[in-house]
Amino acid sequence: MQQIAKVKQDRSIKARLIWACLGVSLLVSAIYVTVSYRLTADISVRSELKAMANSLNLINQEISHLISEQKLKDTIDLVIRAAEPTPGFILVTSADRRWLANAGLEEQTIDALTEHLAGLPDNAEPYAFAGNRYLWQRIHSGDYVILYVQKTTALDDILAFVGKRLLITSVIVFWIAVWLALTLAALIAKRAKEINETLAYIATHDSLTGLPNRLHLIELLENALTADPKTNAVSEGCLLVIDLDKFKEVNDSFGYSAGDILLKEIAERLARLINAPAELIRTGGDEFIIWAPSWNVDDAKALAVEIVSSCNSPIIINGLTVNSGASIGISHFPSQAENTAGLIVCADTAMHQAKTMRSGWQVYQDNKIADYKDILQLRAELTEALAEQQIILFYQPKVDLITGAITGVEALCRWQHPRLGLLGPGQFIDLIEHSGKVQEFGRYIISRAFEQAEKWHREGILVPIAINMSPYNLLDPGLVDFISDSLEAHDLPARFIEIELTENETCINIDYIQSALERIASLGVSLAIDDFGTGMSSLAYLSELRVNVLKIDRIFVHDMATNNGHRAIIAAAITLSQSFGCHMVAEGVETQEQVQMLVEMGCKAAQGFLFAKPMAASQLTPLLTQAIPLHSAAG
Amino acid sequence: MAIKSNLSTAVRLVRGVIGICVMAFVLFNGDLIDDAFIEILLGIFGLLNLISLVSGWCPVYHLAGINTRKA
Repeated sequence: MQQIAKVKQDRSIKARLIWACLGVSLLVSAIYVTVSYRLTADISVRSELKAMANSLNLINQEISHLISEQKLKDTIDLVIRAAEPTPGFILVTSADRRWLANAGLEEQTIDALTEHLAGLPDNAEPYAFAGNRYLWQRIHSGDYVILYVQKTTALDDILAFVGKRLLITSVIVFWIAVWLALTLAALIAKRAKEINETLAYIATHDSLTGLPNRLHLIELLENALTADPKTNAVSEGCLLVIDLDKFKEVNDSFGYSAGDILLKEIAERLARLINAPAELIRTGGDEFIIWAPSWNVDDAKALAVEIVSSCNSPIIINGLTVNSGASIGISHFPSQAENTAGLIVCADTAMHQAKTMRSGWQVYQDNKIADYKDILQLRAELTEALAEQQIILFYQPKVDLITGAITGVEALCRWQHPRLGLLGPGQFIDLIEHSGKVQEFGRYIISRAFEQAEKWHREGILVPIAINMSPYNLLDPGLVDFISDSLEAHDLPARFIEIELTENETCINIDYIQSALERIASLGVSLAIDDFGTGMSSLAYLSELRVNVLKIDRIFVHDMATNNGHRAIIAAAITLSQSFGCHMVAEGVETQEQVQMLVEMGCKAAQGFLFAKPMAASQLTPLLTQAIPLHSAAG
Repeated sequence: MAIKSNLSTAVRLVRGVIGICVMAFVLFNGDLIDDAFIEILLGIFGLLNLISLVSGWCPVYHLAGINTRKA
């Protein structure tokens, strides 16, 4: 942004252009004037010398036909008078005679010149003497030497005349040059300004929605939050971070062009809700920010309510109704943060909180700061975690309630964080699902689980591993092939792998997910519904999917002894599983009493802390090899 | 090409002064210049400046797309 601002303010190009134009024009006119002046001087000298040579020839003629000395004297006088008012002299000398015709020169000068010139060859170069220049010609005719010397007065007059003319001309040329310089500089500077403005606009605006982008926001906030009273600083203001809830689903299901339509429509709706000086900015992806100077938190809350209801009203894309939903985080300046980064982080934090709580909007709360700063930090560290295999799998046994034998294990991910220690899935799964790495993560988990399965398989431990997959993972178009290839690569029979579908997300592309699940099932991999009874999927969804296992959520199990409602739900789920011909696993079993009740109700398998906590593969391996019953209804 | 004013008042005044000076020089100091070509050249420039003064329009600015007049 700094650089863009600099480009915008750069006026030096205009001044430089003007100086360059003026400099070049001055140089050109100086060369031109000098050359013209010297040319004139040369031509004048030559023509003068030519005239003098002609005169000398005339005198020479006189001498060769010497009629009388008087006649010669008259002739040289005549020549010298003809040249007046230019001072000069003609001196004719023979061995014993001397004729002189003088016009306006002193005797001493004549003598001195004669003496000096006598020592020079007959090259007729102009000769400088006593501060004056003289043109001279000399010829030898028999015994006579004829010397014609002329002061350059006439020549100086000519040059003065030419000089004056050249001076006026150069004034005009200079004037044209100044004019050209100004015009050219203004023209180029104007074009440069236009280009700079366009560049600055492109750099600070989003091409899809035409809204300002993050660069613009940062510049805006830097100006508004500064303590400098000269700028348009504000005493308070609110920042709203708006994130669309279903953008990813729309993009994944209908394609990017549909996502673009959604973003444009939302941008238009948001823009209609705010008035200047509040500004709407698209910071990237499906995230918008509104900066509302001079607003207090109550104003922002009112706007947030409007935005939530606006985003909840349906949008028609390709003939289908889509409901994007939005989560909004609000932060207030200066009570919650006093700088740009702080304000954005606070609002972002509040937005994530709103998303987690599905509350639509949330004002930032100070006491949560540590937690959410951690979350933001974790989000940044995700890529590294995957690359360095910091995410590992723990395994929790599934136990046959009658025999206590381990019938399978569920793979659960843990983040072995270098700074924070071991993190449970609750602390990072959400981050992954909103990071765009969810499919990469899914494949990563599958690879890890398959490696472990192969290892156990080789050791003779034949226990199926269940892998959790979210609907997001199933939208990965290459997932089925990946599973199939992995089975082959690890030489594993498909029955040792089970895919548990977590159903805590709505899937707007149920058809695609269903076909993906069918293809997975056709490989021989069994399917399970995880956390059954708590998710958003309907029973119709269950009947369509034809799963092998239902896992009833821990929430119903943990208080089944006291909560009749929950007990009824478990009973219904057990009946349901029997009707569908699938197995039933109770999650989160912690007491012997629960085991008894479950067995009585007809549930045959369970997992929970009563039997074993999730543990590393190395810890679990001995339990598997020794095949010790973990617990049983009888025990 | 519609003639539309493209010069600010200040530029017009400066051009006017220059135009008047140049024209006066051409008309009343002909002996000093002593050359018809230069006189005509100066005359054209003076006249152009006077046109700018009267109309507030400069043909070269028009071609260059410059406008010193505040919008």
